[in-house]
Amino acid sequence: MDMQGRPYGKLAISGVISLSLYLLLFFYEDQVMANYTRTDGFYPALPVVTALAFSFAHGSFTAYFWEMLGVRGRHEKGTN
Amino acid sequence: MENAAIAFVDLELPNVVFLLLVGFVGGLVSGFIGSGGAFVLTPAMMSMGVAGVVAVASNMCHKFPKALVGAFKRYKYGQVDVKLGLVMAVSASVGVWVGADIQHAVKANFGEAGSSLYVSVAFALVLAIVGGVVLRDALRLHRTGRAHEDEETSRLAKWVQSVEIPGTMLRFKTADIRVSALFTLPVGFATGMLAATIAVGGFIGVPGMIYVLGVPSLVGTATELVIAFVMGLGGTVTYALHGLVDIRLAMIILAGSLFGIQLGAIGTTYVKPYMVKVVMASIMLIVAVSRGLIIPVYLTQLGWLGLSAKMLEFLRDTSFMFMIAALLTGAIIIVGAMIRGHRDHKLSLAKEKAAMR
Repeated sequence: MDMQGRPYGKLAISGVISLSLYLLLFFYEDQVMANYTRTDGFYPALPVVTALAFSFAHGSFTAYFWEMLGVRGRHEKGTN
Repeated sequence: MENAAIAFVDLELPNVVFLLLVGFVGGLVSGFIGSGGAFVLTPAMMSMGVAGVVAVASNMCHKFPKALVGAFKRYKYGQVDVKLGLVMAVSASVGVWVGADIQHAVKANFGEAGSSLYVSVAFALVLAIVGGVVLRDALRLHRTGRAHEDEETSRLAKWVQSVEIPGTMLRFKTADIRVSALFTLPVGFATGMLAATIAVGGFIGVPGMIYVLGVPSLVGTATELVIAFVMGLGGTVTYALHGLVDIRLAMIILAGSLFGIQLGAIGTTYVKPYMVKVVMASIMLIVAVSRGLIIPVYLTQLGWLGLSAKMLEFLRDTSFMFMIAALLTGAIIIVGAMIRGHRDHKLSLAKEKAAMR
């Protein structure tokens, strides 16, 4: 397996961001649940914004994770 | 839909691990065929004590970010037709409204058991018919030795594409088709109706795009992710306005499903369209059996059958096992096909290199 060009740095950064988001969510679980189920004002936007933030952070992490393992799409750099 | 009476569950480790795993497998299947997972996730959450409406809301809230990541990944592979996805999503939204209205009417007239019976019958019938059509096509390709060739457009789709209705013609570049909006509308509408009824619109949207509109399988399954994003986002906003989303559950499932969806999307670059049909047909038919098994339970609740409590429990458990089996079967076929595809790709690259020397 070609070990060059593996995104270790990007994997670490996105991993830390993703893990931090999950830690925040569960560390402040009670406050999060109290506010995220409110129906007044802009509170209903919280689940949507949070889901998008997690998808960017954790989505990047999972993409780099497979790339680091050498699992890439057929036409992606590193397979041809 | 009010959240005043809703009690959100305490999370226990075994449940969290189970949701992560089901999320991963569901994501893998979604990345490959455009949808999947919801039919196991929602009942799985309910079996943990999560209220039905919260389970649906939380599933929606994991679905749209998952679909976004999957669509982005497959867009990079040139498989997503954004315009087709958005056109389908608009008519699917109308289908969701109508589907939800029908659901409310059934519930008002026949109660909870009647509503569940309606959902299960729709599930079993639609999946048995559509899954049967997809399986027949896959078997035909296998029998005629064309499983590893590029797919051809169905006869129905050829006719649909040949119909010229001035003022309604739409050109979809990535899907490489030109069809009248009068054909895309009913396919999108049916997708939405099914999504509102059984929560997995893709089971009709993808075969509809492939067999009615003539969209290539890989483009159809990738474009379904755009539809899933739009509908998941709309659904999440609706449920969030009523305070029904359990963000913890949604993000736990998302944690597993994003690993899966990346892998499933990568998998599509190593397989022929035939494999997509095999996975779709297998999952749909096993789920149809699962839903068929649960029908006598609701018939008993309505007083139309007289099964014992033990028998009802057995049917419920067997039905759930079939759901999990459907997802696992799909995942095993996908991983197997990916490994074979990757190996063949490496072999052909090695041959090319040897020939150049």
